[in-house]
Amino acid sequence: MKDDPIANVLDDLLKLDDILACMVARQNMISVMPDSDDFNPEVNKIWDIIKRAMDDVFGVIRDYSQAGLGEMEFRMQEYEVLFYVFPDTENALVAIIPAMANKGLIEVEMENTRREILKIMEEHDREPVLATA
Amino acid sequence: MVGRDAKLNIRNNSKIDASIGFSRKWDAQEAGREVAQSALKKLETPPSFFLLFSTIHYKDHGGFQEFLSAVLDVLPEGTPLIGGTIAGFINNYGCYARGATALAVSYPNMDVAVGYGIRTKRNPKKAARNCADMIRKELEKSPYKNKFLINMISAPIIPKIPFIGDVNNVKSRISGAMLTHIGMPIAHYFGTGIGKEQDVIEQLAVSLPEYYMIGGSSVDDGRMLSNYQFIGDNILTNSVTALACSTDIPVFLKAQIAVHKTEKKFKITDSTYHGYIVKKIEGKSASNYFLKEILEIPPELFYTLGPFYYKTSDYFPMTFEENNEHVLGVGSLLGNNILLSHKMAGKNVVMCTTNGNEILQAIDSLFLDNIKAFPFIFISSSTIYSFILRNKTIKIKDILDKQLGDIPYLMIQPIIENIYIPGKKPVARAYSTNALSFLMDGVR
Repeated sequence: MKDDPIANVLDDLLKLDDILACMVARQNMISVMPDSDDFNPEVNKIWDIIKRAMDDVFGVIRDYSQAGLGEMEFRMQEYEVLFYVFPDTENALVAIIPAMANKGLIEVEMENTRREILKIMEEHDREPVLATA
Repeated sequence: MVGRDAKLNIRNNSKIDASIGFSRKWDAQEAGREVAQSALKKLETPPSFFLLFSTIHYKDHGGFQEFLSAVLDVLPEGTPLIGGTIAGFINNYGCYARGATALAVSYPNMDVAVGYGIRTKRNPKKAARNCADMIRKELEKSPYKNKFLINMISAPIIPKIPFIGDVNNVKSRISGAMLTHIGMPIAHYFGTGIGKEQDVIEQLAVSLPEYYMIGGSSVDDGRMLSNYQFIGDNILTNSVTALACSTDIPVFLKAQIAVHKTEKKFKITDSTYHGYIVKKIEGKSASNYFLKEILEIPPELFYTLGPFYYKTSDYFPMTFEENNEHVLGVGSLLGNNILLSHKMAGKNVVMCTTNGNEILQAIDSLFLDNIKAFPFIFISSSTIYSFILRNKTIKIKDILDKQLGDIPYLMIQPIIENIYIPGKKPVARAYSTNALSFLMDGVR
């Protein structure tokens, strides 16, 4: 995984204090994610429920991505989950952040990450479908 | 790759050379080296001055001393340098909330000096006077008439109070009163509390009235827990640093505010702490009046709103009927009282609002009256814009790219911006965009 340029981009995003976890995923499939040991341990407590909610959101993304759906988000307990959709695909960059985080600045970097991953996808002419979980 | 350097020959055949430096490396030393090298690579002559900015992240990735030392290892010895930590920046390379950036300018017909003053939170006017004295001493013999100054001032830092912790919104009336009358007034002894930027810029304008001034408050990532100012090989806190230039080219300095007034108005009838804390509005408890009558939120509900309030309050700044140029927000609620984000500039408050489109339109109109002949543009623009625009902050870059083309530009995002145009009142405020450049031939 360390040789995967998309994983490297995600590693970079994960270094930001308020990014508790991040990945590229689609419904029922996490395509690329950094080493989960690097995720903030507090995410583990709510991972199961967040994962289920994420899959529901991915259903919406699948249905509306082609119509220009760009971003989605939901708040659950003390966390927010941000989805940055890769245009015309069912895939999205996903990040879990604290609900009280300064979302404005985080989303500036989320956008940079989305663009970097898109560039890699274009260069390699691929969708991020390396299933790791 | 375009837009990272510019060379303009002007009327006396002296060349202005400007270049943007940039790094996204995480390691402080590597980032310092890269930001300096990338800026110098495009310059044909050594820089006359170097403005250096970074986000707070290097604090935990090697430290700012490592960062600055690496920059200075690359720069020619004695290059005047100032800068500080900022929340984000936009330059020809992109739009970022993490990384380091620099503006290097080289021009022979320009004298440059740097200055600083410490303990701005305790005695802002003294700090500004010390800073101005250093600059005046260095530049008083300069033959050039056009003068400008770029400053970085330490932003507010949320104080830590024993048994209470980080002080932000405080519900208890008793704790609020204690913080109002004891906590905030003594916070500055520990280098925390409000930034007092208005006092700093006012004193700089008194001491150096002929200088056009632009600057901002160095900040972290919006948590307001720490910030750093750079000058030469020094990392300062709780200080003002400034770089001043005296040159033969006229200065261009323009500002835009991106808010509009609403119908809601109120009168501040009692305040304390030099106009930073509001005690009464229309004769009633300030916090209760503000929540109930202005925001229309039941006070008992306010403290349960959490993220909702924080994520919407940026849309509701305020200004003053007496001083429309001042725009500020609520810093925090201290029991019955309200701590303002900076000093009140009148008693008659007008609530304002803004939105993403208004912000983008304001920035779009900043350069409309000018043709593209700037050798560089340095912009100080509100961090709050990114809080509102979020990932659409990239649209600011799209506007700047369209307006400025290949001109090297650097927009820093401090938490509070300041500006002074000789003959006008100096102002520290939020929600503004302020641009500095040289007024070249052909620029209206």
